[in-house]
Amino acid sequence: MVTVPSVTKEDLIRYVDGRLAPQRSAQVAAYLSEHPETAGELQAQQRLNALLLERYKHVCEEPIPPALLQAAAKGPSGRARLRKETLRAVAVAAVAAILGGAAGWLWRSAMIEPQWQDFTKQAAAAYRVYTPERDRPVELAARQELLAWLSRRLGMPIVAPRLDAVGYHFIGGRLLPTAGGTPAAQLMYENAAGRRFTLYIQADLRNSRDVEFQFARQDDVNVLYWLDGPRGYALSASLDESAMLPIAKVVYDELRR
Amino acid sequence: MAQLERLIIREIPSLRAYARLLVGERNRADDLVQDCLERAWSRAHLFRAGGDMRVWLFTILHNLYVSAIRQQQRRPTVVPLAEHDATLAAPPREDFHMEIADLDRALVELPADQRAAVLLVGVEDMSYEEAAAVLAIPVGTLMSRLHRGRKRLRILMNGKAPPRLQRIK
Repeated sequence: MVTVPSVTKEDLIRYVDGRLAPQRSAQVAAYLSEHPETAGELQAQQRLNALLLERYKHVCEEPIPPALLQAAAKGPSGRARLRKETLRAVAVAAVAAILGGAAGWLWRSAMIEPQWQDFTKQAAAAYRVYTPERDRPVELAARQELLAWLSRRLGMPIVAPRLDAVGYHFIGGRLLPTAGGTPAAQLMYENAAGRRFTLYIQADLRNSRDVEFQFARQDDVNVLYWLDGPRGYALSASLDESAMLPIAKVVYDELRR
Repeated sequence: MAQLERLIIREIPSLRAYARLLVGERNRADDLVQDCLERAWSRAHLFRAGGDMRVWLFTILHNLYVSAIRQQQRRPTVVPLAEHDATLAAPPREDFHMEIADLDRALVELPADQRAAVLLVGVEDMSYEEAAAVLAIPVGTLMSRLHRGRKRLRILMNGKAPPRLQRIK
């Protein structure tokens, strides 16, 4: 019989933060299933963290006071002047930081080619409809037959990338209709804090080139998408660009395997 | 230098948000960030190229915060409750609304060292090592502050806070 190292306080802290290796995480989860009181406490702490993030997000959305920009632009010359690069950096900072705001996104949405608009729009809509579901976020839970079924319907191999490295796990997915009447797939991921994002896949886009990571914003949802010929992949989340990019890179690499 | 400027500006939103949750009041938080940015420039020559700008700036901010608290303790000021920043940039998701008001109250009640640990790891998403570096404490200490802070915050949120011990002079 394999001995499992006993669960320490550090394990529990790491569990709340989703910072345990997958194997250890499973061992801690097994421990928690036998210790409901601790499990309840940890769950409450995770929920609290989500709440703190929400609170934090609202401050990030506020415009930066000019006095702070001036202080930040104060180079060694001591003069508080905003250079061209500074203004550009401000735009980048705004895009990176604003989770729900609109300002920095206008120029980006203008960059989306019209034929992908439907694709990103539908990805965002499906995200918006299904991720808040408490009891039934997915049509089928994360099991092999789900992926086999989606692969059959979309006519392409659908795999669920492993995202433990970025703290998310696959919870399941569903089949969705597109505006063109063909099927699309939505895979859903969740982290320890209950935050979710989706990977939306469509197999029949009118496209023959490869398109690298692009951002599109659909109201309150950020969509990061890329195209592999007619196959389109869209990550949708209420996360900012800087948080989504590392996830997208892992997804991309896992899909290439 | 423009590169350094970009790195610094990129951190402003998270510095502001961290400071706000740390001190609980908008103007004081922004003052703290402004002091931090000015201090950063006056010490820019100390920043190692390739170093972690985030950890560097948060360390500066933390040190300023600690000395501000010390000053405050010498010269106690009372902030009326109404001035605590309960305003939000945008209406939060509804189910969070009530809880956010409670959260603001609970955060103020939390001991400052625990609050910093909870925020650096929980919302800044720093590694335990980075957060410990910012606070200049061992990782073990950071983790126990984090643990105690979260437990206490949860109790405070449930309104079941054990009465705080008051030293009687």
